[in-house]
Amino acid sequence: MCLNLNQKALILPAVNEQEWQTRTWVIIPSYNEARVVRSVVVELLHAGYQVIVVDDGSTDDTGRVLKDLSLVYVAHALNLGQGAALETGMEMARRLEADYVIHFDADGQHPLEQIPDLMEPLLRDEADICLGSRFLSQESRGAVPWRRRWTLQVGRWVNYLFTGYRMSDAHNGFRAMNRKALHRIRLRQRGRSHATEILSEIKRHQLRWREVAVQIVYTPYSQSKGTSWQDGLEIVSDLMLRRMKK
Amino acid sequence: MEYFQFKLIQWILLPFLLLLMGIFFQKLRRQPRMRILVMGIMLAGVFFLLFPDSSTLIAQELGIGRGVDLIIYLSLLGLTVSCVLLYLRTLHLQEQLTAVVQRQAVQEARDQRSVEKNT
Repeated sequence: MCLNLNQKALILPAVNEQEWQTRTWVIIPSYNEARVVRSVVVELLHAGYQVIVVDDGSTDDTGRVLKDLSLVYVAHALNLGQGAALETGMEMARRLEADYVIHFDADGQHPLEQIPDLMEPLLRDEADICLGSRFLSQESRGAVPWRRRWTLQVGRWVNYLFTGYRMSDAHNGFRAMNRKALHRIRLRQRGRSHATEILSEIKRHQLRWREVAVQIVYTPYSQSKGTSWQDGLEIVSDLMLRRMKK
Repeated sequence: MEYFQFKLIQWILLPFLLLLMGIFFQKLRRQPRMRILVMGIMLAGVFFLLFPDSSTLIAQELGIGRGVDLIIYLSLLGLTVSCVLLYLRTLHLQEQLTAVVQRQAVQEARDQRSVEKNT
């Protein structure tokens, strides 16, 4: 069951809702998402979050549609990939002295009202990083299209092979981390393999992690942008080549 | 002495190989390990060009049969290793480019927080 923001604030006694939200920066990597990114940002601003949009070399109107919104807009001169965009956003958050950071997709598939669920273990100081999982609750598991489910199962094993962590979800872009994790995790993988790299970084820095049940809203638009099996192969080859390079 | 009665193909390929050796010897002066590897491969090429029958002798020792097959296998192996090394080099350049683009993006970030919230 999902609680709304006010209900959640009651559960977190030591933490004032407004206080943690204003110290939380939501990083949105965006590549040619002008159609949807504005509405996602407006909702986040309305809920009181600070927003960093990393425009990853978009060729559409992303910069223009965000021009009148109260946010920090960072633009890559070239399209580098989601991992690189997240690292740029995290570097910006480090400079802005963020206490908490949330990774949030630009296509609107992450429900805003689940941010407090994701933040709860951080605010209670029980974890340094929380990773959203679609497979911890029956309701969210059922919403995952079957083809995506199989791809993600393979992704889980890839993560296990490369990091030794057996997570319930493989490539969920909905994450939250505290200041400690923000300053320790450095993403070098430019593309989608950053999700596995984050696990490696968690292991390397011995960060406390927690998986939190989240729901992903699948729309035809978000599905067209999701991880396909070809992306999966690319992720594995990226990870292998990176290992060889080391 | 019959080995050194050069055939036409040897006249064509030997100067070409020696020229390549000279170029790579010069180009790879800052990468000593790579220079040794490339020089080794090219010297092997010169050796097989001068003594073509030796490849058959080595091939038979290895249970391959024909010398030309040995050369093909070694060439394929060399080509694959070259591709991987080139790809890794590309990755390295990509990393440098990424760092430059990221640094520039952060330096030129647009802080719009003074904009009145249009929510």
